[in-house]
Amino acid sequence: MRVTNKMLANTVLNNLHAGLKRLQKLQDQMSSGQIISKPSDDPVIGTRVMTLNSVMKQRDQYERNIDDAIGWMDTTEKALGSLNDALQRARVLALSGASDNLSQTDREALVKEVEELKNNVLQIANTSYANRYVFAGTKTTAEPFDDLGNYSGNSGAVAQLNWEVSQGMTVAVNVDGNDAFVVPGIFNILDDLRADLLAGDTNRISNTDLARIDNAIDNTLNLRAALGAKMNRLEMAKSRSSDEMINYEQLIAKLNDVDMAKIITDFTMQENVYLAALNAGARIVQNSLLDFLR
Amino acid sequence: MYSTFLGLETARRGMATGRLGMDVTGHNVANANTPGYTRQRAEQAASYPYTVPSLGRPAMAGQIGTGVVVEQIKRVRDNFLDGQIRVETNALGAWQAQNDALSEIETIFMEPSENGLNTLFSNFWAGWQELSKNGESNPLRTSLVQNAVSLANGFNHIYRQLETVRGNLNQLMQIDVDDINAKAQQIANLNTQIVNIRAAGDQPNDLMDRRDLLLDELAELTNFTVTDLGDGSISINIGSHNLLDGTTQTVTPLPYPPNPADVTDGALYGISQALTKLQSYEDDLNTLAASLIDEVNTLHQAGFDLSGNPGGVFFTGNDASDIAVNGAIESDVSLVAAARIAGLDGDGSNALAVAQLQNTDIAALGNTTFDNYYKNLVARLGINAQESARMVENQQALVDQLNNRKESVSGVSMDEEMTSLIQYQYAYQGAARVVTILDGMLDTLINKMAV
Repeated sequence: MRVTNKMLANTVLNNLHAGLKRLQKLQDQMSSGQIISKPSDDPVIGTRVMTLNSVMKQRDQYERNIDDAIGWMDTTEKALGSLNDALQRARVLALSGASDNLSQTDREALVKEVEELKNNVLQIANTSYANRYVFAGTKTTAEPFDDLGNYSGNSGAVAQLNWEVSQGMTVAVNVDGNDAFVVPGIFNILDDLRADLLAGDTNRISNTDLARIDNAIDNTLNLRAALGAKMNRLEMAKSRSSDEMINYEQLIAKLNDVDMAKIITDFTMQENVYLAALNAGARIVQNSLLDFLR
Repeated sequence: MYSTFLGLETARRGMATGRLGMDVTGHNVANANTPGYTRQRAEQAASYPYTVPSLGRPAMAGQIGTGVVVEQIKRVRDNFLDGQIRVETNALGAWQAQNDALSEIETIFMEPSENGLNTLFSNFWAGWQELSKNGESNPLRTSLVQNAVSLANGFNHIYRQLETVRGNLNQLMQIDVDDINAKAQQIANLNTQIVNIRAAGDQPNDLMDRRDLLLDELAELTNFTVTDLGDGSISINIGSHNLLDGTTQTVTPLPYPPNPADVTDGALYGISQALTKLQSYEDDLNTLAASLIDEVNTLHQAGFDLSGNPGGVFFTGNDASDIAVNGAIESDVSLVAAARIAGLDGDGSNALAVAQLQNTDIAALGNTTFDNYYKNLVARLGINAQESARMVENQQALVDQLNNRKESVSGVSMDEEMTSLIQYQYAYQGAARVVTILDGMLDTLINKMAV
């Protein structure tokens, strides 16, 4: 094959061009730290990275939802705990009030404490979390209980605050005031206890009021148990989700993050190839028969 | 007996040929870097010997040579290679044009990145999730509405950019068509000159080089067939369109836009392919936007806002070009309908329903989710762009290799030309020396001999 100067020049130029192009690509990857900067770099990995990114964003959101749910439930649980304490105290008061040895004057002293207790329970019933009333069902902006203990929130399915904690799975995070206070009739019980203490009706106190208080305590305990179980489940879901997040992050790193050691080695190697091409070009192009003719 | 001066004539011919050879070599050297130049060679042959056989021929030992003549100055060129190069250049032009357009479209989508639609979608859904937990919150409504505005703007932006690319491609096509027509006119002019020179019995080498170069350039733009008319003139057809009639030298300009049945390769074809692909991406983007508008609005209108009124449309517009968040909602975020039941301000179940659209298969999108539909679009774009880049690389290698072969045949080699130059120089010097010797002989014959 006949070889002309222009062919040599073209070959040198093409090789230099190809070398520079490879260098540019490596430099791009090195400075961005990512293997894929546009879909055509690798359409398959590119879309996987996109999928992982959106899945991770979604997981992130679910974890935040779980955190918020646990925060809300924690507040509810604490409130129910205080309610339990109040009911236990009411039980103690009822027990001592039921004693026939107590004078009516002493019994009336207990009345004061029952009244305080009712105020305390009212406060508990109007507990708020981040300015939202936790026992109001979905009417979270208005105080659910007035001073007399009348409930203005809602109940049933419409009262549920359903939050999504993982794909397609929603959890009702709230306990409405109807279930916690109205159904067990807590305010009525306290009112009746007060009335019975005032009237000195020890019979009713020991036979009716105490049993109703015990029922209310049972109801509260049940609600707390259910909440606790839910919170446990959420905690578990969260730790599982965190583990998965780490997996996703590792996967995305494996797919798209540049291995610096490798890329720097590649870059240096490519740089040498480029320099060698330059060197060869300089030597081949400069000489011709002209240099040897006088 | 033949003339005493025959040797002088023979030497003169040698000198003339040597000089011509040096001139041709000089022309080659001067054009070593001229694009499209084909090296030329003076085809030498011994001139007709003396004497011609006839009855009246002088009696002598045999025929005597009369020197050298240059029969023609010839282009050293392989016409078969020309055809091959043009075919491969066609394909290169087509893929190159596609690749240019697709790379530009790729940068418009900005994937994978923190600024692409993928992220904007994620933020949009997250906004609804947050609102679903806090139905009465106005700050969360504001951030949701802002996320929605970003998403709508993202759609608008990509759409506008795609339209810009479309405009540019159309303009490029117009320019290419003009270029083809201008080149056809130049070829027609060269045709006329070549025919005239050929009629006078000469070889219009350099004009033919220029015409071949124009044909090579034309091959980047479009497919065509060349018909050699025998008198040096050529006709050019693009598909069924007779671009140049070599007998009358009339150019029928290629219309804009060209008939797709005629243009089946080259940059023009690549541009029309890119336009088709662009349209398909834009259609998908519009389908995505339209379904989003439709689905979100349907759910939003089933809910109730903070004041307990039924929700209005959340998105206005019909497709990616004009999707926008309802202006009323943008100016009063309490109109976002988070609740399913009127008056329950803490109820976020409608917001949750919208958020759950993220994982819902949408019938209008072929039973896939919004996220996946968009990812498929990006994947298709990526695969198309990757294919075009690979084809450009392959075609470029092929064309380079063919060009190298052509260069191997037709290119000017300095070493070779220098060698020829020296050969011709010595031939010239030798012939000149013959004249000197003959001069001495004639001097002896005419001046020194006693008469």
